[in-house]
Amino acid sequence: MSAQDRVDMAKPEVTTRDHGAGVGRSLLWLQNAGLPIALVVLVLFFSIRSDLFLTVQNLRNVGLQAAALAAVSCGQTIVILTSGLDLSVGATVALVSVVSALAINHFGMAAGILCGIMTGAVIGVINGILITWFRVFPFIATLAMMSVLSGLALSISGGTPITGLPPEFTSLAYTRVGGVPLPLIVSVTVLVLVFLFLHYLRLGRHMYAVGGNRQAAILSGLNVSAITVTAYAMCSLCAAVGAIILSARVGSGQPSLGGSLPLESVAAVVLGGVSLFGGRGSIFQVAVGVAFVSILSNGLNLLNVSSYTQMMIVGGTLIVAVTFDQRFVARS
Amino acid sequence: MIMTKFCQTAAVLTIALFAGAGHTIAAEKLGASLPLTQGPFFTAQIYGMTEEAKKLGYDLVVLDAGGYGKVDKQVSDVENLLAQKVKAVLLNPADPTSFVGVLNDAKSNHVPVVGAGMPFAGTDGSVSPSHCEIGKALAEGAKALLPNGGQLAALVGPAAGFWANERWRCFKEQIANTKIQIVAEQASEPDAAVGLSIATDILQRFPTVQVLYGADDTVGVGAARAVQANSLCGKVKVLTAVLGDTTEELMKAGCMDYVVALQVVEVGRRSVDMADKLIKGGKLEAKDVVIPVVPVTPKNLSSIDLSTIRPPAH
Repeated sequence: MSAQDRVDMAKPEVTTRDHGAGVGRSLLWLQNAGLPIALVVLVLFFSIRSDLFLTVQNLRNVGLQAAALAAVSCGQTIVILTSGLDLSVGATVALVSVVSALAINHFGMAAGILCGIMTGAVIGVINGILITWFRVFPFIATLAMMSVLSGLALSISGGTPITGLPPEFTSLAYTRVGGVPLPLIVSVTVLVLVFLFLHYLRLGRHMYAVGGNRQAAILSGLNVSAITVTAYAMCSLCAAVGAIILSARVGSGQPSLGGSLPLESVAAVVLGGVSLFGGRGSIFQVAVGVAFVSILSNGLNLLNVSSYTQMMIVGGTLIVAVTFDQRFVARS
Repeated sequence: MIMTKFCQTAAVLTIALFAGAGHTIAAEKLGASLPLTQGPFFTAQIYGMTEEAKKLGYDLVVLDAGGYGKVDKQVSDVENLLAQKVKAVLLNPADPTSFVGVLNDAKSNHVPVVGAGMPFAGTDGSVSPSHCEIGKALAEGAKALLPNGGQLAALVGPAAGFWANERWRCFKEQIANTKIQIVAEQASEPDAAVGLSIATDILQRFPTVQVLYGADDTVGVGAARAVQANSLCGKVKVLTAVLGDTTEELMKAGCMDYVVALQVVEVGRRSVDMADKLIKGGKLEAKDVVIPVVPVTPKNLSSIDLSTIRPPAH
């Protein structure tokens, strides 16, 4: 084989590598920019189809309605980054709602809210221990926990809402600061805190490491169990914040609150480009995912699309996002 | 390559989405917020509302919260209806205590709210048999089935379901001074299959039970099916509320003994009428209109006027 032949044979390899790198870059671009573009298209679509969509009142509604989902999705993001999953977020919201309402009625608003937040943290630690020490799959552990927490919420409340909350608590949900609903400000604060945690604290970076390659994380000397327990505790803490927001909105402690949050939070996180395999994703992309889910629901309501059709659209959107993650991004 | 295909697909979809798009011409809208839009109760209520709204020239927007557990979603639904500038809201709440904030919003927007299915604080009027009244009517049914007292087991409906709790609370109050003994009470999802399983277990555990209470016709149908499967029709009586097609069939088969039929179509119609009056500033004859329930037994089943109870068969 002459030198010229060897050069000719090498050419296609270089081209394939270039092509592969190009596809990788395109997919990366698509992963980062795809959802924001889809969100802009969605907003344009609803703005054109309904003259009510871009009104201040409606946008305020969207913000208010997205607040609890945003808080819960922040926590779900942390858990999914470690390649876990928390299906108990909805039941956590219900239990925290009941516990906070009872505590508020007995000990006052500040103590009641603190009690609710602490309940959330304890639930998360239990989830984490089940998954790390007892090696129960996250899906099963949190699914079972969902049942336990729902039963506990119903048992504590006697199956009825806890009413009689002070008006200052209820008014939290309807208070506006500079025209922005207070629950939205709370959720954005949670979002920023989670961003700072994931990007600037060592523990936050370790969450990515554990989700990206668990074995490598163990070999690097990371305490994977402690990191996992922390992730679940933070997830339940975020769910507790969502519970306080929702309880204030409905003005009572509801033992059946948050039933749709497991699906919606996973949808927002996956739409936001966080990989279900763990180790990859950004909290700000998740914020776009939350906005997408909330605007989709609001816009479909404004267009008077039947709720049955809405369920199909939300489920279909999730399937498309997961398919994209599984087929293209994970492979690249 | 993938990128190019994606962009092409996205472009085609975008064009398809925007094609034919235009501003919706705002018609006079009525908004209805319901915990569910399925099952004999809600389909009948929506039918009544839709027919009357059409007659009066309104466009009816119906939002489904997705279940009794989704109180927060129903609060959001009412907010969305207000954002749609509806002229009035017809609200059948999953839990009436949860709407204080949003009812204040409606008031400040001068949008009247009608309690469509139950009276509750903060509304401008209501059309119902309240759930408490239904519970009391069910108690009268239990007394009729057990005139000398006896054992009763109950499928009380969903845990934390306001309507189920109210019916059961008032039922128990009404039979407090009788010889009827409640031997079992179980909460369950409003699902006939779940009702069937629970009722079967109850019949095994309490073979001497004489009446099964089903809070509505989902668990009521489950209870009747359990009685039927154990060949106990006529021996163990079944008592429930809402007269759906299946309930009627089971009564004809002798496995359903007493139904508190709700005139749900009439509730739907009259709540639209009330909303119309409130919109036009007319005076209401009564703020809280009570539509009477109809006790149905195998004896009077054939003579019942179904036009106010459920939509015509397809």
